[in-house]
This record gives sequence, structure tokens and C-alpha cells, in this order.
Amino acid sequence: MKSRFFIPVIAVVAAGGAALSLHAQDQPKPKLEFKFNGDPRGGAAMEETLRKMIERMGLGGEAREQLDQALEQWKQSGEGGRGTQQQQAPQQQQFRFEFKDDGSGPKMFRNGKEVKPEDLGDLMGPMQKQLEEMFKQQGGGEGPGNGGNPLEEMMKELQKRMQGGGDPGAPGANPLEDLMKRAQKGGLGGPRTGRERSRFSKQHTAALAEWRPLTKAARESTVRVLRDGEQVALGTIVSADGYALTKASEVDKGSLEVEFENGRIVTAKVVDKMDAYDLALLKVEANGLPVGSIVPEEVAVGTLVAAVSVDEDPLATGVISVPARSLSEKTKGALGIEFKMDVELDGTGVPIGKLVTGCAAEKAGLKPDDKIMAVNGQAVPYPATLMRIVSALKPGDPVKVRYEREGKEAELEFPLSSREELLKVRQEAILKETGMKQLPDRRALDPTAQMGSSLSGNASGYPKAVQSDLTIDANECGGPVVDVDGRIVAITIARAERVSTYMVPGKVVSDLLSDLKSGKFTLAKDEDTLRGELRESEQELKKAEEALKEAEARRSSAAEQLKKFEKK
Amino acid sequence: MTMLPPSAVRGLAAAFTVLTVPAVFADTLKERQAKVLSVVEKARPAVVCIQSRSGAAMGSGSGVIVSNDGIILTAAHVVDGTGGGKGPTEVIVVLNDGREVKAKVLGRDRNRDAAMVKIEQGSEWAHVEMAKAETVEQGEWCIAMGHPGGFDPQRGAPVRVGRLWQNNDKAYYRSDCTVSGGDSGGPLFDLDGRVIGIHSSISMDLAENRHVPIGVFHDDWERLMKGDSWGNMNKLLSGSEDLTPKKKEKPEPKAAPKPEKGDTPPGPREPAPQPSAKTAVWLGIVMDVVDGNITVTEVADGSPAQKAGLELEDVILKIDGKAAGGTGDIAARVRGASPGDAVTFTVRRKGKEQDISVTLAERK
Repeated sequence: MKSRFFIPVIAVVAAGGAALSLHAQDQPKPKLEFKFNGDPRGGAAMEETLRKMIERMGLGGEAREQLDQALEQWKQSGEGGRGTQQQQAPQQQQFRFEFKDDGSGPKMFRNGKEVKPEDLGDLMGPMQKQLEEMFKQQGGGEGPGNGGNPLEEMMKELQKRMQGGGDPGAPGANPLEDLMKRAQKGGLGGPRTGRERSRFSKQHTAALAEWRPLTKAARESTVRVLRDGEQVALGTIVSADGYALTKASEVDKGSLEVEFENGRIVTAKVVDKMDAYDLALLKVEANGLPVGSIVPEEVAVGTLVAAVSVDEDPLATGVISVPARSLSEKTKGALGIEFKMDVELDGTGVPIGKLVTGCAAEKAGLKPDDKIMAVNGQAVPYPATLMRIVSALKPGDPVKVRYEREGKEAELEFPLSSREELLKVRQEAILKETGMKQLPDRRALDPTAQMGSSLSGNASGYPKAVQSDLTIDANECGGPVVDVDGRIVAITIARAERVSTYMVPGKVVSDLLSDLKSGKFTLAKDEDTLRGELRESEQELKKAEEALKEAEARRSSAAEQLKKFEKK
Repeated sequence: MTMLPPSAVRGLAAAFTVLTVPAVFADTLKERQAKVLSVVEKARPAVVCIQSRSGAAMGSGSGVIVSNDGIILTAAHVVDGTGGGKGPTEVIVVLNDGREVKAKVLGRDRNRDAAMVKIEQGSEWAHVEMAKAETVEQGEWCIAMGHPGGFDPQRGAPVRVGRLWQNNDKAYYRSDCTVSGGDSGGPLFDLDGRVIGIHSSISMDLAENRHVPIGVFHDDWERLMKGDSWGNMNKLLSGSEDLTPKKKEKPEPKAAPKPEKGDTPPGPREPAPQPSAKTAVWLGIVMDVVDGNITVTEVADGSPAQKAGLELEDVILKIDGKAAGGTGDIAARVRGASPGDAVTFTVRRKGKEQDISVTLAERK
């Protein structure tokens, strides 16, 4: 368990029992690991996952068709059998591939031994072989290595992309994020209208109807935001004379229009943006609009909520899953340590593995194997408790760290680094070591995080966000969220994963809008952003002062020397 | 975060057991919210993250503490190792407040994806009660917790709310509480905070989240406590091999809804539309493998299957005279047909075989 600090390890994933687990670890090199577990007849979940992977790889058409055909035949062949007594014990297969680059180019390994693409067929076991057979029978199969095998293609493509070699069309872009976007364009959103649902489901019209009387006001103050004629987001009207908030990254190009609840469509333009929250302020030529009243209250976990659109039924109903928290690494404090791994924790403190170069703990003089016992007087028995305490503090805040070194306890006080600084140093080290161009987004590594939803491209970094389980689509962000009293308590800002939609809390929105009310029509900056800017400018100032001093020193030394010349 | 005194949890839960009318249909939004808030407060401390580490690799799932002395319910695949071996004997349990404790794996029922783990030391663990299987109602509101993506100290266990749209004790429970990787083994609660299911698997459909029914743990209790591990994932896989919707290339503008479509369960998507232009067909059943038999576990109201007379608990033996290879096989064959085609199902009902011919409809 080496990577608790950095990329969260992606869990064993049960997608229908045919577990495909992907592990991303930062030690010593990031590694993707595929495990096909269980009887290859395993079915739907495996099929889904494969489809998803193929889509994500951007392999599209041909690979997909081949997989379709193969699976169809596979099922029709009746191989699965229905018998219970005679059923053979499942042959458990395990396939684990590691992708590494030791400097001489990317290589694939299995159980520590290098695997050449042409050996793959043998390794993938019955499932692989069966698939290959199918391809051959289809007459379209070209055997391994020639693009005839989706599994292999998938791995090769992944390998290529991990090395930054894929898709020349997207320079500098995170290759896996790009893949994800492509997959999303393919339309991964499922049927979601209440009418298609079981009468026992929460999305059934009857269940949604409970909310109708509560959402009326919010609905009238909601607009669809159209980019080149297609809906890309929703907007929440915040001023009667034609201002609406929406998701900025969805309206950064193209010609914009908004469609009101009554079907009227009006041209819109972006007049201001707030990058930290990915919010944009739209202006439309309209007056006397119904304004949604946004309540500046914190909502508790367990509060029932509904995401509203212009339609009578809400888009989705759900609950506040996690209280407002920062999703921005900029505003979180960090000591700059890596936890020591492979040690038994006894609940008395957290031993340091390594110190992150240039970060607070190293500068203050902490050393590897020091055991951190307390932070600001609070005991830190486990890594999670330490992380929780430290990241709740702000970068630059002074922190008292009590630690044990060679049996003796001592204390140090020093200002914290930010998690952003720490992650940057660690990322750079990993990228340098592996030759990758960019580290993948967590979502790109966990197929289940995406299943069933179209996800927002911009879905992190917000200084304050509330998490809900509202199953909206990516093009439905920017709309109001109401509570059981029909009050707007938040605005949706990102469909993040299968289980999560982030929302900007009402309090933040109303703070941002204070300037709007005073007639200035701009978005104010929030406290955390301002603190960050202050800190950054102070650092710049400090550097500039140092540079000034240096320059002054150089000038006086040059003047000194010049005088000697003049004397001569 | 403080632990609730277990006696308080018990006391509260006991007070609710006298409820015989399911609270589902009668309550109002505000009443329901009050219950959710109370479940969040008392049940969250009992939700744990279960990490199994082998060498450098780590798997992370979830679980829920159900006894004073730290017995944890989870899914078999969370503690079943990776390569079909015996799996770990010891795991690390991360409590909601970040504490880490060692736990040992008791037993696993791989047929039903159920397992139990026990914290090695200590007592007075914050815990919740297990519901009785017979109190679980179709359509009741439920709450999912767990640690999707692994333990995140700044996040904790996210709360999700939905309804139990299928409650067949012999198959999986299905709810529209969304869960994802890392949630496996986590609890599904009723509105009184009792565990009614354990997260097992999902499909591409956001509404299709499968949970091990709580009755499985009641039935298996003694064997699991004794440390037995039995069954195989094969049955589990077959059981979950129902159909998943193929995604539409693009959401089409919705036509005016037909009233009778209101009662289609989210599950029966057998005749899933092909990505190509082929017309989608509609049969209208959910299948599960129950005791090794392909069993109808849901029939959609107004569906072709219902009209033709297919019933719950029917065991499907053949389609058009050919042996049914599995739920996926049936799905594929239905998908291969067109609206208006008649498909003959040979089913076993109460010990007798009979043929039922279903005329497939178009899935709108």
C-alpha cells in the first residue's frame, strides 16, 4: 500500500462479478493492472467493461463490431450450459500486465517477465482464444498483432497513450482524459426519463411528482443553454434584467443562446467568468425575468434535493452525500511528507517515509523515520487522521508538529506548504521517472466511476463544493438544486462520477453575486481564492525583493570596481 | 468523530421494529428526509473501508459493522483474493474517522457474494442492526453508503438515496442508489437504519445497482462464523449476467410519452437497441440465476411477456426449442429478433413444463 498519499488506489471493482481491477500506483512507477477474474463465460459485466474500455481507447467502430459479433456467437454457442450438477468448476484466470518504460522504450510485463505483443494470445487464456476463434470464424480476424484483437489492441493503445504517443491531434492534453471525452461523445448516458422507469424506482413519474409543487419557482428561473443550437448546460437566472449563471467550460466557444421555460430562445453572451468555480455569467437581452432566490445556508448530509430543469418533473432526485468541502489542492495545507509503508501502525503516530523536496517538513528539518505524534496538539494515530487535520489548515498557516526521533520527543513549528506544491513535486518526479507526459485522471482509471453517465470534463478544483448523488447528465450542469421547501440551495457545477455530482453551495453563489446586486455585474472572488492570490503575490514579492537586493549588491560591487578604474 | 454508544443504536432500532406498514408509500418528503438524516447520523460510524493488501497491490472495498464485537458484513469478492486463490486471511479496516484496525476474514459464500470479517480486538464498536429479510419491501426507500474509489479522509462515506425496485431474496436486490468501484461490500440501509443489503455489482444503467439480500447473511450466519468458504464465482457471474442497455448514439428528442409505458421496470432491457439502426425489441422481464436455474424475477407491467403469460419464478429452459445457455444467451436471441416476431419460451412452472409464445413488441 504505497500510494495512499497520491493517486488513490482504484478498488477491486465488481462489475457484475467479473472483476476487472485497475490499480494505479505511484511506486516505483505507475502501473496499470488488468485482472480478468473468474470464468470467461462470466458475461455481461465483462462485456460492458470491455466495451467501455474499447470506447475509451477510441478504437470505436471496428473493434466494437468485432466484440459484438464475438460475444453474440459466444453466447449463442450455448457454451455456458445451464446444468448445475455437471457444471465444471470455473477456471480462475489471472492476467496481470504492467507497463513500464526503463528508458529503452515502453515494455509490457507479466509476473515480472517481459511480454511481447505476439505472446499475448497464449497468455490471455481461454477467453482470449475463444475470442480469437470467433474472429477467425467471422473471416475478419487477422490474428494477433494485426488489429484483429480488441483486447490486445486495447492494451497496446493504452500503453501507447500512457507514453504520450497517442492521438497527435491533442497536443499536451492528458491522453486518458481525452479518451474519456471521446467515450462520452459516444453517448454513454443511459435512459433516464421517469417514464422508462419501474413504478418502484425513484425516477418514476409518480415519485418525481412529489417534487412538482416544490420546483415550480426554480423551474421558471432556469434556462437551457445552447451552444451552436445544442444544449450544453443549464443556467440559473440571477437578475431580472437578463443575467444567468452557467457552467463556464461549456460556453467557452461557439454561438450561445438560452431557451426559457416557455420555449423562447434568445441570443446570449458571456460577460464574466469565475475560473475557480467554473462559473460564467451570461447576459441575454430580456427584462422582467423570474429570479431564482438562492438561500445562503449550508445543507446537511442527508438533506433531500432535486435537480431542476425547465420541465415539470425534476431531472433527478437525490440527497446531499458529502458536506461542503474544498476540491482545490491550492487551499489545503500539507506538511510535505510521504508516509512510511509496510510498517505496522500501532496507533501512536505516523512514521515518515520520505520528505518531499522543497516542501515545509523538509525545510523545517524533519527526517525520514521520524514518527509524527501530534499536529497542533491533536494526536495523529493514523495517516488518515493526519491528512484530515493538516488539509483542513491553510497553506502558510503555522503548524506545531510533535514527533519522536530515536526515542526522544520534540516539537517543531513551521508554516505549511500547500497540497498543490506537494503534488506538483511528486508528479514531476513520477513523470520524469516514467517518461509519461501527464498523469491520468482518477476517473480514467476506474471504469465503474463512469458507468452509466456522461461526465463533465471540468469536474474538480472547486474551492468549495457540495457532493450529491443527483444523476444528471454533463449537459445539465448550471441549473438550480432545490430542497424539500423548494428553496434553491445550490447550483450544479459538474457531473463528476457515477456516484457524484458536485454543486456550488448557495452561500458561495450568493457571496459571488453580491457585486451583481450592487449593479457592478461582475462575479466577486471568494475568500479562498483571494487568500491564495495574496499568498502567491506575497511569495512573488519576496522573490522580487531578493532579486532587488541581489541587483543592488551587484550594482554596488560594479560601481566599486569602476571607481578603481577611474582612480587609475 | 464520536462513536455512538451501541446500546443507543440498539434501543433506537428496537423502537422501530414494531413498524409493520412499510413507511415507503405513506410518507411525505419531509418525513422521509427526517429519517434519512437520522440514519446518516447513527449508521455512518458503522460503515468501514476494507483494504486487502498483497505485496504492493491493494484492493479496497467497503463493509458495515453489525455487532458490538466488530463483526463486519461485506461482499465475498472484496476478500476473495485476486487469482482464485484462497484470498487474504487478514485485512485492514479503516473506520469512518480514519482509525485503522486489523481484522480477520471469517467465511465467504461465493455463490451469493457474501462474506464476513471480524475486527480482531476490542469491543463496543459502533454498529447497526440487520433487517429481517421478510421486512424488506419492494419500492421502499433505501440509503447506500460505502467508500467509492477507496478511503478519502476529507470525504468520508458518501450517502446515496434511492428505492429498492426489486427485492427477490433468491437473486440480487436491485436499487437505484448509485454505487461504484470501492463501494463493494458496503451497506444498503432501510429508512430505519437497518442493513437490508450489501453492494455487489452494477451495470451500465445508473438504476441497476445490485445488492446481496440481507437474508443471505442470516441463512449463512453459522457457516460464515465458523470460517467456511464455499461456492464459486461462476454462479455469481451467471447470476449477474442479465442485460445491460446498449447506449443510444445520441439521446433522441422524446416523443409524447404513452401512459402505459409508465410501468416499465428499469431492468428488463433484453431487447436492447443495437447501436445500428435495427429496431429495438421489447420482451419485458428481468432474469436471475436462482439455484442454478434461469428464473424470471421481474415481469414488467404491460409488457409482451406479461401479456403472453410469463410469470415470476418461471424457470426458462428453452427458447424456440433450443436449450437456453444462460441469461445472456436468452438476451442475445431475443435481441436478434424483430418486433412482431413470436418467440417460444419453454418454462418450468411448479414442476410442469409448458410452452409460452411471446410476440415481441417494439421498445420505444
